[in-house]
This record gives sequence, C-alpha cells and structure tokens, in this order.
Amino acid sequence: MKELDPLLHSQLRLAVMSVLMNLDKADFVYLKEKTDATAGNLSVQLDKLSTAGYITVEKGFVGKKPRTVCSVTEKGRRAFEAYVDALRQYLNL
Amino acid sequence: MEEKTLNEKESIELIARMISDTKSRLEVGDGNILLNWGVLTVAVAVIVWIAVAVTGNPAFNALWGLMVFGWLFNLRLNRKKRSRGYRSYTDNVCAVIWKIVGLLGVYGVIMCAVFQWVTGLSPWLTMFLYALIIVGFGAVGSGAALKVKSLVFGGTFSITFGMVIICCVLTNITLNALWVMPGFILSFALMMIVPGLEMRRLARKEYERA
Repeated sequence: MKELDPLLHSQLRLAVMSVLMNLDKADFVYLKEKTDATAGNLSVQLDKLSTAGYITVEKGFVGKKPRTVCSVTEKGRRAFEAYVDALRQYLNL
Repeated sequence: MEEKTLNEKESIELIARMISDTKSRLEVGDGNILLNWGVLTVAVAVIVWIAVAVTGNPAFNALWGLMVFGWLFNLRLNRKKRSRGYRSYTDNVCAVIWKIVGLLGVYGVIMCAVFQWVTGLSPWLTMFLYALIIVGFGAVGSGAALKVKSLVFGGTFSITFGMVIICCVLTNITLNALWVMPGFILSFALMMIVPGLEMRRLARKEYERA
C-alpha cells in the first residue's frame, strides 16, 4: 500500500489543497473563510505547502490593501492525486 | 485546524466537503456583464434605427459609437469581479474568450475606418456581422463553459442570423432595416439579456443553497 503524504495528511493543509485543486487561484481571505482557520495558522500552513513546492504564493497589493494569492503547482496537483489514490486503496474504494 | 491529522475516512470527507463548498460556478452579479452589453446594444440599436428611419439620414449610424459606454460599465463590473477572492478555471476560459472578442471588435473598428478612408465606401456592415457572428461565438463558448443553455442557444441564433445576412449580401437581396434591425435586436436579447437574467437567477439560487 502507498504511504499517505504526511504533508497532506493534516486537516488544514488538506483543506487548503482541496480548495485550490478546484480553483485556478484563491486569495488568503477566501481560503481563511473556506477553511475556518485563524490567520496565523493558515499563514504557517501555506508556508509549509509553499516550501514543499505544492503551491505558489504571490504577495501583492489591490489598491493600498495587501493581497496574498495562492495557486496549486503541478507538483502539488500530482501529490494531491497520489494522496487521493492512496486514500482509495486504504478505504478499498 | 493546527496540525490535526485525520484518519482516511475523515480525509475523504474533508476533500469532498471542500470541493462541494467551492464548486459554485456562478456568483451573484455574474450575469450583470452580459446584461450591461445586451441592454446597451439593444438600446443603441433602437435609437439608431429610429433616428435613421425618421430622418432618412444614414449619418445617424455614427450613434453606434455610444457602445463605448459599455467598456466603461464593464471596467467597473470587472473590478468588482476581481475582488471576490478567487478565480476559477471557468473564469479563465470566459476571460480569454471575451478578451479575444473585444480585441477583434477594436481591430474591426480600426479596419473599417481605414477602409472607409482609403476607398470612400462604407465597410461598416463588417461590424454588424462581427456583432452577430464573433460575439455569438463568444456567447456559445461562455455558455458551454458555464453550462448556461440559454447563452449557447442565443449565441447560435445570433450566428445563424449573421449567416443569413451574409447569404443576402452574396445573393444581392436588399438588407431592409424593417427585418434586419428587429433580427439584430432579437439576437442580442436572446444572446445577452435572457442569459444574463438566467445567470443572475442561477447565481442567486446557488447562493441561497450555500
């Protein structure tokens, strides 16, 4: 049996990846709202996903407001698909 | 949610819930861009039609220039759309389609102006066909991506009417405003106003369900 990717096998990181797999881009506020996470925790988990190369994080401004936009990378997409495949094997789906 | 690990069943449930939460295709206000262009085009078409019919002066066709106001409204609506926090793949497809349709419109206007200046003849029927056929393809493409059937139907109707106009021109059948203008107005009503209203209704429904 395939081993579950420890980076994705955490509630918040998996939630973020699931949202991003469905969208081209999402900003920090949207991810925070969808995952119900605190800003600090979300920020830490986004950093971990970004360091692993699973997502890209672009920091910019809309007018004078800062805006962080995230999108899933090809590596992240493959890792997520492998993770779902592994889950299917575990659950005999 | 800090570092909380899940069992396999919880993971699958979380993935399913997140996908379900983000699967909404339409947002409240998404139909407004179509409505903006549809209402403006129909209004300008009616004004031009009445002005030319009453005065008999074709110079009133210059009133089509009022379509520029559509760009101004569009800028405002697009700014609102950009601030909604995410961009879906469907948004990308529609954005590319309408960017190309818009660029072709600008090229068309420039091309017609140059040809008129060089030849002294009026090539502006090209823009009429552009509005029916190219914009029609834009509507069909967006309708297919967004799964809005009325948009696909309206676009197809518009393209068909554009092809009828081409057939008339090629077979020397006179284009009479009495049927051309109502056909044009009906095309834009079916291609933009009806789908715009439907998209607003669908978006409101999705919003209430969420």
